[in-house]
Amino acid sequence: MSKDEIKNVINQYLSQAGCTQFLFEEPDENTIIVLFNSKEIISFNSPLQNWVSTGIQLDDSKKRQYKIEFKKTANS
Amino acid sequence: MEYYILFEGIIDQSNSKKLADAILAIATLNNPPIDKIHILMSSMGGNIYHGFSLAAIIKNSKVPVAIHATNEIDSIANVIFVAAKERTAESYAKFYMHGSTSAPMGFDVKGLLEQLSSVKTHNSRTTHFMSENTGLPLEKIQKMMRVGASMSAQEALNLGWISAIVHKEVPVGALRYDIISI
Repeated sequence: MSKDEIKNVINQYLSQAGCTQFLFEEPDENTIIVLFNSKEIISFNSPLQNWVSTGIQLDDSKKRQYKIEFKKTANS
Repeated sequence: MEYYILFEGIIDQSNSKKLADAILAIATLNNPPIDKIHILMSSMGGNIYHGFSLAAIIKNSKVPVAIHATNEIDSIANVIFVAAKERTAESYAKFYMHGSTSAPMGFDVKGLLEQLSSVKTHNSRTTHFMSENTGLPLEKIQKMMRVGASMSAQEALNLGWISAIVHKEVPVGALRYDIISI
């Protein structure tokens, strides 16, 4: 999957969970961070294979309420 | 390699010994060596002494211990929970804190004063431990204990009690040990 396809999967998964106002960041080629807002958050279960994720964390940058960081695994 | 412990039960001598023995035994495994112990935990609390004992074992474990709240983390179980540096929860987990209680030892003046002193000291050490291990102000924890505060996972995330809300299950085929005492 390309990064745009991966972002679409993440966007779709989190939209269905009621999350809004997505902002994607790519600090390096193996990392995708999605920032978002949400009134009620879910037990995040990553829809992506070959990427590990942090689960839903607070967005310390305050651009949004929450964030999830995805890192590509070595065998992907 | 990671090792999983599923813990469901009160913090009494029997369950505490099982959990302590498991953590200590897992840390000695070397074929393959264990990099991290995940405790998937739910407990309605229990004995303060055993709670602090487990907290000390977790903090000093040779292998890092991560705790994931699967259901309820109540009372002294919060001391065990915050002893882990990595703390996560399901979205439906619940955290409950309250002041300590004491079983009657006798109703003479000396006995009542001893109990009062003991309860105050337990409250003090519990709030200090939780403040020092979460970075939250002591006054905040004291207030939560005083009112008997319950927190949802989202409130716990916003407060810094946990670092993430995530779904965790013991992977199929993973090394695991179950301590279930419902």
